[in-house]
Amino acid sequence: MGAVTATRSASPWLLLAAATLALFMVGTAIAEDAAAPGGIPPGTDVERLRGITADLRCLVCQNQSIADSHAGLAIDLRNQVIKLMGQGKTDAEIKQYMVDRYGEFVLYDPPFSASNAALWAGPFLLVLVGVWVARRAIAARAAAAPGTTLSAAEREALEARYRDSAS
Amino acid sequence: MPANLRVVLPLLVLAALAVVFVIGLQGDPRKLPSVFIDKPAPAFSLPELAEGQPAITPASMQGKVWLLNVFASWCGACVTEHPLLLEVARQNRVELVGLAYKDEPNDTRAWLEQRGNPYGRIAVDRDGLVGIDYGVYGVPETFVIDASGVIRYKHVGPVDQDFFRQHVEPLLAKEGR
Repeated sequence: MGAVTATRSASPWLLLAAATLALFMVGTAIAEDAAAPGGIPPGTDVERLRGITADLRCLVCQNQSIADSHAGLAIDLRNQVIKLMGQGKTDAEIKQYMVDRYGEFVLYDPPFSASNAALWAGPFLLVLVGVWVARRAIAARAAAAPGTTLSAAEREALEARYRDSAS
Repeated sequence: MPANLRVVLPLLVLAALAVVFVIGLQGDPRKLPSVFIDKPAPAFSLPELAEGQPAITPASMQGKVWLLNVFASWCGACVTEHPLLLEVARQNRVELVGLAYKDEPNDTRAWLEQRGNPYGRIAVDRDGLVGIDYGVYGVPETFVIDASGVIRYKHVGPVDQDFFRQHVEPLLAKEGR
């Protein structure tokens, strides 16, 4: 009976897993497809182009990278990256070109600076605060519950009892 | 920790977070800080929409306070600000230069013919490359450029009376036109 229910309830889960996987694959296919519009000239280092544009935010569709977006401006900026690559610019120079025009917001991985220090350091500070609070709470609990460690006599009695039950 | 503090503290933290989030939600995430404020307007040389006119460059506007208004015939929000631009042009309050962004010149002409032309000059940025140099990411956008050719303000979206009151009139009062 138990086994029957188990298989019966497992199949919806399998279905769900399969559906999720299928959706994921469709999503990846769409993303791959998006990498190609606008016509990439032959001889372009596509891997490098993908690497640079994946780090650049699409300004019109803010939760997509330039690599993934079909928006007109994203295609223009991707073409600009191709042009700059053709001029022999380094990745850093190309990213600087974008920052000069659109600000650090265009980078998905902005460098540490005074204005974003709180964002970079905040999570670590919160963890430290959490550790501090937890340690205080544990210490307070230990202090509030005396006798949680055994006295010598108690230990002796306990061990004696343990020996008796073991023999 | 006293018992009442244990109850009140999380509530205080929650209230503080709520305040932070409400403030955070006030801003428009589409409005980005421009990197061009107080920097010289990037140079460009673009053909004028009207044929037979000299090319338009920021240098040729030197000595005047002017607005560079990025627009296009395909831009819906441009229709919203158009009556105000016409009004400003009629009062001749400030030099208006249009940047026809990624627009077919014939479409631009037809659009202006239908709605009226507020611009003193119109630069044709057919492929949008000057737009990229100005960090344009949404149309309409309007740059306020002072007499020495420095960008003083950038407005994203349709301009309104407040924009003129707060960012154009003071500059005109100070530098004349």
